Amino acid sequence: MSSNSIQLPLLRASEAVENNPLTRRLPRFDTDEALSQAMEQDPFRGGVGNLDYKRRIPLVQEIRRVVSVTDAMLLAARGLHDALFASLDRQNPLDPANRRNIYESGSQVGKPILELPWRPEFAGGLVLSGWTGTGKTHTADRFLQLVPQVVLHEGKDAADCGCLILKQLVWLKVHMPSDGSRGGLVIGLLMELDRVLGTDYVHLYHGNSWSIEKQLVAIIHILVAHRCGLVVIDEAQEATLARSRFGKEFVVFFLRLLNAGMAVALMGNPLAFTQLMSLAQSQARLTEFGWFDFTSPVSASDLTWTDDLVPGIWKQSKLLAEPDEPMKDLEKFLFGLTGGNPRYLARLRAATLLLGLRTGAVRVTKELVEEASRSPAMAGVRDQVDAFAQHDLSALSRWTDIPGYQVRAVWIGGEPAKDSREFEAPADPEPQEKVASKKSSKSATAPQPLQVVPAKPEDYRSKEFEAKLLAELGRIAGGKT
Amino acid sequence: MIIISEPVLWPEVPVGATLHSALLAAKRMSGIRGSDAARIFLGTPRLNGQVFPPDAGWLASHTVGGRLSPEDFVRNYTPFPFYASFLRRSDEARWLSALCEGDRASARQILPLSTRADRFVADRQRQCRECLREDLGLYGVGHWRVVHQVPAITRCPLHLRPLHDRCGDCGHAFGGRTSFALPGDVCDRCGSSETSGLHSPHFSEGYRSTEELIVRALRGDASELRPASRVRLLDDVIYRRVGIQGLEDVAGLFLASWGVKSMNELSTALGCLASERHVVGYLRGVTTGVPRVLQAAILAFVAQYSNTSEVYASGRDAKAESAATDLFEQPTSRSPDAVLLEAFCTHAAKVGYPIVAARELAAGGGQHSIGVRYASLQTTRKFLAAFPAELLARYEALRVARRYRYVPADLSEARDLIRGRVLEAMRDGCTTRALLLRADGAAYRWARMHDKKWLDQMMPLRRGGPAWRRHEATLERCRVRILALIDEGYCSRSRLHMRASNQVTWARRHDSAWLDRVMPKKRGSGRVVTSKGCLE
Repeated sequence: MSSNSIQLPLLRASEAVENNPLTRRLPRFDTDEALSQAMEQDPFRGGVGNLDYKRRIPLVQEIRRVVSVTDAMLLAARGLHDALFASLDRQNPLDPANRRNIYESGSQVGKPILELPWRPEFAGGLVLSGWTGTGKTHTADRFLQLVPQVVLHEGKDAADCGCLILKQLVWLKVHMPSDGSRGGLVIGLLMELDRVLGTDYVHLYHGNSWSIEKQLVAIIHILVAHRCGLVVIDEAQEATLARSRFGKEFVVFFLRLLNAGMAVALMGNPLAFTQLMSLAQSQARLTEFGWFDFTSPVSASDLTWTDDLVPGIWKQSKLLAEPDEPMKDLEKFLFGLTGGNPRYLARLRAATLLLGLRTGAVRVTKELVEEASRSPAMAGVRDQVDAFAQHDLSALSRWTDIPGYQVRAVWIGGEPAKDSREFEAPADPEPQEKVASKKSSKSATAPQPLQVVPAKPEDYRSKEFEAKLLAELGRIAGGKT
Repeated sequence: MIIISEPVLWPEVPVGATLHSALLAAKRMSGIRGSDAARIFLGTPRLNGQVFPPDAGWLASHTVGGRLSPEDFVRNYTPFPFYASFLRRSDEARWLSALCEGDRASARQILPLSTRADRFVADRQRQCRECLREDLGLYGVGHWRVVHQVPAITRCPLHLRPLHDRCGDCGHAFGGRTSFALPGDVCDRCGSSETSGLHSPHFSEGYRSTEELIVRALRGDASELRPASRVRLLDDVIYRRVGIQGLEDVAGLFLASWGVKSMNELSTALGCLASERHVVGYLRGVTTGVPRVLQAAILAFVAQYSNTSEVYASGRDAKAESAATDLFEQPTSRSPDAVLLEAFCTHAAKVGYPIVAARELAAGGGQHSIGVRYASLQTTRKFLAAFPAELLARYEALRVARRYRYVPADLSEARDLIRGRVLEAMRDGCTTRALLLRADGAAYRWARMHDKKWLDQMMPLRRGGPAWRRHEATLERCRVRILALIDEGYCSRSRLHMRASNQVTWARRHDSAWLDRVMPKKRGSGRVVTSKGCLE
């Protein structure tokens, strides 16, 4: 058999992927560098010019849009990207079987979900796990902003999809219902579909004849018909998923979505996924594209904190007349005031800028930051900040949605300190590597180099970086270099 | 109220698919229920059975957002081109406009399609397996095709394969009562995916020419079906060559071209009502009541032989051959009817009177009926008044002669004539009165009124006999049944009633004395009547 005939199936597959009408108008980010650059967002880059302070005040909220890409964010975005495109390639309408699948799915509408036949193949899912404020939603939202949610196919594009008109729903993001009910999820999905597509599915699939079991089948079909590539379920909490009496049904529904060919990304608190993880098969399928743990930096010397978050969020957002006052041990100072939480860092910066603009301060000073940290904006999270900053496990037990065991594992893995005071002055960057190596086995499935290599776009071009990367790859592969 | 602000999903449907098929594919793709789909797509509560869209404008705007025009829907997914081929260009435009605007009253006025005889869709939906295979590859779902649903078409014009119209295992029609099935679906009764074809497809010369004409008509490319062309064609072939008297021979040739021996067989082959009256009438120029599929078949036959003098190849029966030779040879002398017709048509062309009406007048039609159908009565009278006196006298004579042409001189002659027609119909397979009524209604009605005794002998009523005889028979049956049950041990009226309620009820109403004797009513609560006692 010649090499050409061996390669033929692969070449055909490659041609099918390149000609896929579902991805033709979507941006692909094939390299991490391209994805990282696309993810970066800094609305403060151009400065504010000569605007007076009064007009600068509303701009403070722009800090929410700042995205400083960390390793974890890049990993998760890569997972979302790969899951989305793999799903869309799997649904490639140039394959006659996929065209038939639409109609077969449509003929199932009206049946309860239990009567839905299982298809032999499943798409892959991914899980973004982390406690509040660690950047899961921010990451997903930023990635989803890069990809259009709806693509209208007409003419040849639509004909390639077997349609005259097709409003492709590239992705859909919904929140888990706060009451943990399936009806809430159904309504949420239908309303979001209607909002995005301009349809009226809520009324179409509403009434006595539509039980929740049937509505779920109808929703699966709508997503299949609109060639949805990725369904993102946000705000999965322990009460809504793991402890909900419908927890198992939720998992079955997510598996049905995977079985229908679309990827599912679950985002939420680590405690929410206990039900999910209790079944080996569902665990394997829902984490095919990765399990991504989002955690706060362990110490002020954490590379994520020093290289990504503080420079990206704190130093870039400038609204006062002059640059910030140079502060000694800024990272350590800010870690103590925010506990290493990215969300609280952004909140503190916003409070500082607001205070400065209102008081007419010329620059951000240490006193201004301290004053802002005592402001009402930070008062609500002061206990959390203290607990994280001082690595106080007993204080963390106050919050039921913060998984103490995981936080402790991160703290211990990151820095084997006996005393909470030892956390205040971490010195070398080595512990970060230990954190990466001692993370749970779930995160071990993710590519390793990105956890140890700084994600600075300019670094990728340097020879030093290349040499370092090769050395790291060799070390991970078995230390043969 | 369901509101879809803009179209979001509509399947690609091949040109030539039926509108019903397009709607079903869209319904299945969108997953919307039938009633909701009908409201959204059509603005009506019913989805199934739509040959023409109730409102093509609504359909175009609510389903595809104007990507297809209403005209596209009507022309590509309905038998519109076929029917429109029978209209004048101006009428076609008006009809199309009425269909696009949902003006059903105007559409019906221009081309009434409500008669059962003029239906275009076969009883069972038909599919071609090759077309289905191609559809599944291209569109993901099979589609019904307009051309396959024409009753006269029994094979796929593209693949030349016999059409399938039933489940291969249980023989059930595709889709059953709801007709919500698309080609390729499993049988909704037995779940089988096998299909089977039509029993005896006709691929005679007549079939082939008709098939070719219908396919061209569906493409909008059959100008010979237009009224003016039709008149010319029939004039040329029929009136100039054989004359009015030879029309019955032409009808015979027409049957021979289809390879059938009677009009009943032709009806079966065409899938529409066909009778000698229809065929001869149509050749004479009367289109009223003649199904358009039959019209197409006749015109295809006439057109096929209009430009050639070749007669049937060897192997045909001698009668047909000689008739064909007569038909296509140049006539030596023209009949008086042909002369009159030519004069009428020439004069009509000069004064702008409808040619169709002129030909009907020449064929002996009444002024009033023609005035109602084609032109105003006043115009018709003016047309005739301006006619040369000599020709007008001939026309009047012809009318009078035709009116009484088939009226027999006395009742016995009429009886013989009608009996002959009834017997002929019975020989053709009309074994019941219903079939006879359908085949030759006039003969049946006359026989029922004037020759009832003979008709009852030849074709007895199913229920048969007078009421008293039926009463006796029922009485006998009930008594036998009740006595048999009593013998078996049924000893109370209630138990008897449970076993044979019909007979007991009938006996209680009509034979109560006998019933009281064989099964007396219970008196008191503790008395038990044995079967032996009852019989005593």
